[in-house]
Amino acid sequence: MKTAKKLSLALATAAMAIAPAPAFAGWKRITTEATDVGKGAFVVTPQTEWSRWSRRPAKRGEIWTQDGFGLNMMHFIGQVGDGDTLFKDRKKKERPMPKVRGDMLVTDLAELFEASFSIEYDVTQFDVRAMEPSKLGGHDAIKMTYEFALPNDALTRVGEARLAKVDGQVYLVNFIAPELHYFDQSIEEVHVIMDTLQLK
Amino acid sequence: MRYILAVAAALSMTLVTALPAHAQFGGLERTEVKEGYQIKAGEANILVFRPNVRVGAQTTGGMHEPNAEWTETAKANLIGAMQEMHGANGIELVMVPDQEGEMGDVVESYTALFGTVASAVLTHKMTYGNRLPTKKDRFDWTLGEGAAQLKELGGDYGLFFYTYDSYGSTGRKVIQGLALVLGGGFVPSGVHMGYAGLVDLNTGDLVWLNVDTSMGGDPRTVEGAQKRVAQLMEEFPLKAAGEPGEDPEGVVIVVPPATAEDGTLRPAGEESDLPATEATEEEDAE
Amino acid sequence: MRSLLATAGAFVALACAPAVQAGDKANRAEYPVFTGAYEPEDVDERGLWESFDEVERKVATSKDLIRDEGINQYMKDVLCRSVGDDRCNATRIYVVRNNAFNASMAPNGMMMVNSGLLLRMRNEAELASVLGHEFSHFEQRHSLQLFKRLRSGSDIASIVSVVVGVPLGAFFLLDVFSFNRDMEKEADVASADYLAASPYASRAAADIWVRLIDEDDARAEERKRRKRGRSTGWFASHPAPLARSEYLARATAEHADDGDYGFERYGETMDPYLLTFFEDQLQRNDFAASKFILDQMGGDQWRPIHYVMQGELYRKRGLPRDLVTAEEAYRTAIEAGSTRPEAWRGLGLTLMRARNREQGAEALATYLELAPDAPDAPMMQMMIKGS
Repeated sequence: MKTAKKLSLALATAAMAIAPAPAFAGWKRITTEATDVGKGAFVVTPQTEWSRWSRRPAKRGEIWTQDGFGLNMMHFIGQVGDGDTLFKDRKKKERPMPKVRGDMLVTDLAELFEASFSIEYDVTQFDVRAMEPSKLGGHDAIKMTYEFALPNDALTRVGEARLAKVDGQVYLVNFIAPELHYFDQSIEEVHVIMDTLQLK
Repeated sequence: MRYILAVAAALSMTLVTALPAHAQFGGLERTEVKEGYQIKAGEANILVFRPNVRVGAQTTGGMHEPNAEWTETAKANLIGAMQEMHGANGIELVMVPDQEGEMGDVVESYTALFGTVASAVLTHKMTYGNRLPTKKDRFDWTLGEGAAQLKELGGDYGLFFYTYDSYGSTGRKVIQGLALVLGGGFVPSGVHMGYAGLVDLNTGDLVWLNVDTSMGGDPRTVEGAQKRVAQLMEEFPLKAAGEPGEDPEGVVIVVPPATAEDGTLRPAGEESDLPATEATEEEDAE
Repeated sequence: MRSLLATAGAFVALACAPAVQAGDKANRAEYPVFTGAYEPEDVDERGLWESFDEVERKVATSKDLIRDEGINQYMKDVLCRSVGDDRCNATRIYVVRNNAFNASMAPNGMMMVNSGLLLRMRNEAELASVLGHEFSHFEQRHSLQLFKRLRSGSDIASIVSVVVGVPLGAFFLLDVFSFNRDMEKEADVASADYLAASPYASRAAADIWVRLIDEDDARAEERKRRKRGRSTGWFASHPAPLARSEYLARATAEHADDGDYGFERYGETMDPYLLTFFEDQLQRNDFAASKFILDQMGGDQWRPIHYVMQGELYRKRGLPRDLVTAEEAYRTAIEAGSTRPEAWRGLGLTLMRARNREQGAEALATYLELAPDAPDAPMMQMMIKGS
């Protein structure tokens, strides 16, 4: 059996030299004014300033952070139609992303998110803490709170996702952070954003 | 992109190991200090959380060979040098022993959070091409107020540090020479990196972080460790003058502006070789 | 819905039952002579141990470990029964929640086993043979040998890197501790010896490796990619699975014992965890391989839990014809006496998606009766009302 790469990764001094620098891409300041997000999929008015990463997670998607992705990360992904994937399907042969289907129930959307998120970030442990009806920008939505772990990491990380289907298109807003301090630091603002944004 | 999160996690152990790429191109040396921050006056204890010290040799191929004896010696030397240095400033270093039970979890979690925070600072503040717009003009990362729980261990500050040394072997130095002769690529001989960070446990704020990917001083020797610690502690926050809650008293040293022998002022930054004069009753702004 | 924590309680009762010592098999072999737990000897080995001790400190705090005492004790028991008590105490086992089939052995005695491996074992004897295999990497100091070999190997790479200007040395580190073919074979043979001396059936070891490649074939077919074959990728560092099965079969035939498979014991111990481990596997959008795993696990003795898993497998893919299969699977599970609330949840959601809202709502109502505190209860109440 092969020794887990994780082990040697932890030992190796080379771990990061090999992984291409993760975030050497542009950043844009998001101010507290109404902002077009995801090529017009949303209009969002944050209460504080955020930084937007120039690489899109999806065709009509954006990722924001304030302190760095390991500390707070917010996804906006909108207008995902029948047959499309939530996150870009970058490696179809190695780790294909599940697709949205027209007949999915709202609970199926939550499961779709769970799988897509886990594949995108290589999360092997994902547990739902709560699932309840909610709103996203005034539309009926499902709200899922969850915890997850990253390989060889001593931090419990938690997230809240809300998903809605409007006119056959799926919309997702998701926020993740370490449970220690960082989740609570932002969650109130995240709730306001989820409640007040507009879906287009 | 999937590796972003995993990377953030991996970094908590091997923050500076992220940097060999930089190290090969001249090294990265960065310090961030919270503006105007000072260690409180009077008695100050700093908790030192399990320092991560790695020492080994580098083979001709660049592989790292861990060496347990070197690591042990270096760790003892570094801690000794650090205690000496801070002790001279009236700061006591408290080595936090391994904790059991609930406090064990608290220490583990905050150690991990520190690693994640430090790697965020490195990625998004110290790496200029990748600065977050929200962080361009500030250094305000924190572990949160919950970090105050750690004060129970007997200190008001938390210090985390890491050093990594891989000494070049003869074989590698030969190849290095060969590369120069042939005009080939750059083969770094030896890797010497370190970082250290200080957290104010009253607020949880990260008040100082120093990262250096090409450090001097051989921590396997006492003198080398002193040199290393001096570099590792570069721009460490100063201690506020006086006693807490009391008016400062005693002797305050005021250094007059440096003058050359003919009486003209020397340019700032140049050391004065005149003896300091003593003054009393006046508080030095420093 | 994951319910690892909920079921953990139930598990403790099982785990507390004394590990069944299978009645000694008729022709049990002797364990090879054990020289005693060793201490690291030269400078390389001390360095490796010390480094891995540090890695282990980190691993031990990791949130992706399964900390439940029951499953950890069980793993230890199985290893001890496999390699003998004097050997097993030199190691620590960590169970990692990860759907991939993997286990690893560090030079300092730290063993890591993925939950995905537990999902793929059919009985305790198979698990015992894998744990024995990993253990023998440790006993035979394979990491150290490899480290020394690589040290000279990467020196060549450095000369190459002078020319291209890229320090290849870094790349070697990633795979420093993946053992090579000869070592794998050596470990296989050693583990066959352990198994022969253990209460377990020696034959159990033979076809784990063939199943592994069959699983990947199924995956390759579904994803329309080239099959990895028997000599590339993951398998390059390992003996070809067919050859491996053959020599393992030969080795075990010599012992021709009538030992225990621990089939029921494995099933009872794993049952509370299987659904969680399988959901982790389903999350990878890996239908064909998941189906293969389930078929292998069930064999010709499907238990109610296997039908629940089958329901989840098809419901989550969710093609129109899958909904029919899923409904049938959940109903079979319930008829066969499954008390898992997930069976009703799955049935309800399947029916609703198939536009049979009334029956779907009934099934969901039963789910909530069985699991009133389920984390998704508010959502399911809404589904019932909205139907």
